[in-house]
Amino acid sequence: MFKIDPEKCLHCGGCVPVCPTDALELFEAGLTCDEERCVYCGDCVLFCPVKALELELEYQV
Amino acid sequence: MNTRYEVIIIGAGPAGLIAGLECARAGLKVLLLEKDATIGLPLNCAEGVPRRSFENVITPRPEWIKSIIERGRLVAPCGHHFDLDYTRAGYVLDRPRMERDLAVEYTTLGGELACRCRAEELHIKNKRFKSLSIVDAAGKKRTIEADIFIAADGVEGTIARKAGLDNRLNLKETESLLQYRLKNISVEPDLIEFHLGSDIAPRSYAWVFPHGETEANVGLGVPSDINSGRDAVYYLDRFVARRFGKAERGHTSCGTCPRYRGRNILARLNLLVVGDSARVLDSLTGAGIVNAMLSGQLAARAALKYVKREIATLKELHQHYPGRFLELKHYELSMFLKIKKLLVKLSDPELDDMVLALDEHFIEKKVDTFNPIAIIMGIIKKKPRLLKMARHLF
Ligand SMILES: Cc1cc2nc3c(=O)[nH]c(=O)nc-3n(C[C@H](O)[C@H](O)[C@H](O)COP(=O)(O)OP(=O)(O)OC[C@H]3O[C@@H](n4cnc5c(N)ncnc54)[C@H](O)[C@@H]3O)c2cc1C
Ligand code: SF4
Ligand code: SF4
Repeated sequence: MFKIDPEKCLHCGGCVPVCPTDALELFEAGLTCDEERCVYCGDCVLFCPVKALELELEYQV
Repeated sequence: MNTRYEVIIIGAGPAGLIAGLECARAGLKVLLLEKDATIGLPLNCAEGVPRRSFENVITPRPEWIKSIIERGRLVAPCGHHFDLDYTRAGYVLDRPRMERDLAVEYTTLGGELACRCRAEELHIKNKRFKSLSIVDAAGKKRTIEADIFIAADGVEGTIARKAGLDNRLNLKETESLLQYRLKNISVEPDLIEFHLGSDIAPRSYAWVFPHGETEANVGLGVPSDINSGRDAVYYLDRFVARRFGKAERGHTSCGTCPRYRGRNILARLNLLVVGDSARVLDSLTGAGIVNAMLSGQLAARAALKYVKREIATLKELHQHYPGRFLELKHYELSMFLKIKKLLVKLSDPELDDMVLALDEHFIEKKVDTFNPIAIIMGIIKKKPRLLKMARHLF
């Protein structure tokens, strides 16, 4: 699960070109992640200077 | 909004606004698209510009200037600092104010500005980009045509990427920048500070840019791939506490400084890419405002010639842009990139050496111009231990 905290996000756009699959888009209303494209690499999470992004990996047993 | 223009510019930051002004002044039928509602916001910037190159692009209005910078301070990891006087070296701007004024001037000159309009993708026909799909303020999809397109969409750079120019950022070479506007502090209004050291901002630096008499933009960069919990927030909170004690925090900025990538991502067919989208920042300091404006200005001049059919071929177009821009800036931007790649390799004792050598090099502690190469050669003479600098640079 990809989580975006809209309270923290400062709309800097820096995570967008970091994403290897172009899953992120920054709209006036906020950032979105297309989970069809996201490969859960975590690069955007590491990048975000204000910790607005989070990946919650769910494992099915 | 019409369905056809001579020039369409995507993004109304400094690059797009200057490009727009240049087109509007020449009487072109120009459309400037901005996805956000307000010009100048959100602000993610320290707002510092070198005076000479800034004034070569535009004559600033007094209201845009928050501080006039006349001194620079470099602080070594060991705490030793070195000050240099440089009369009217630069400005710290009120950037939102400047951008709003530029937008008003642009529309007054007849340029069309469409806010809350998001550019989606360029479409090609007969080996030219022919049209752009957008989502307008009402949420409606439309297609608009133009003779030529200028992508000024900032660090996101989506338009160029979708048009086949690979401006993606590799996390290993990316820095995460964070900055607070500190309020009610005492600052010297003409002094900018740069602090080095692995304990302060590993492989980068921390900055203090005065914003008027009682406020400052205080920030730093950290490599984006450090995964130890010691992130930008950790380092900046610590730096602020050490340098200012308890300080009132205003606006927070964040972002990144993409490294310069050379010619390959600056144009494709009749799409010209400018500013952060073209990654034309100074990789050493992260300064991008002036290069954004200059690239926007030169791209617009090339576009004007193309629209007026003074130049016929794409080859000629690319000689004007990015050709002219690279003639002026390629050497400098490449050199800054090399210095950056070298600085990230220096240990704290080597950074100490460098600052001490600079202190010895500038005997008079005063300059009126900078020649980075002469400075580097000078400091290597003083500290032969830094010879690896020269080996990496030339
Ligand atoms: C923390 C920080 C501090 C900095 N400090 C300095 C400094 O002190 N000095 C300096 O010179 N530089 C500094 N920079 C760099 C500087 O901010 C940039 O180089 C500069 O903003 C680049 O201008 P631009 O016009 O290319 O892009 P931007 O200013 O990013 O403008 C791009 C515009 O395009 C719009 N846009 C994006 N996509 C679309 C789309 N699809 N459709 C429509 N509109 C779109 C955006 O909303 C935005 O308004 C700093 C950067 C950061 C992150
Ligand atoms: S990097 Fe962080 S603050 Fe910047 S746009 Fe992405 S989520 Fe928002
Ligand atoms: S986790 Fe990786 S693939 Fe998913 S949005 Fe972030 S950067 Fe893109």
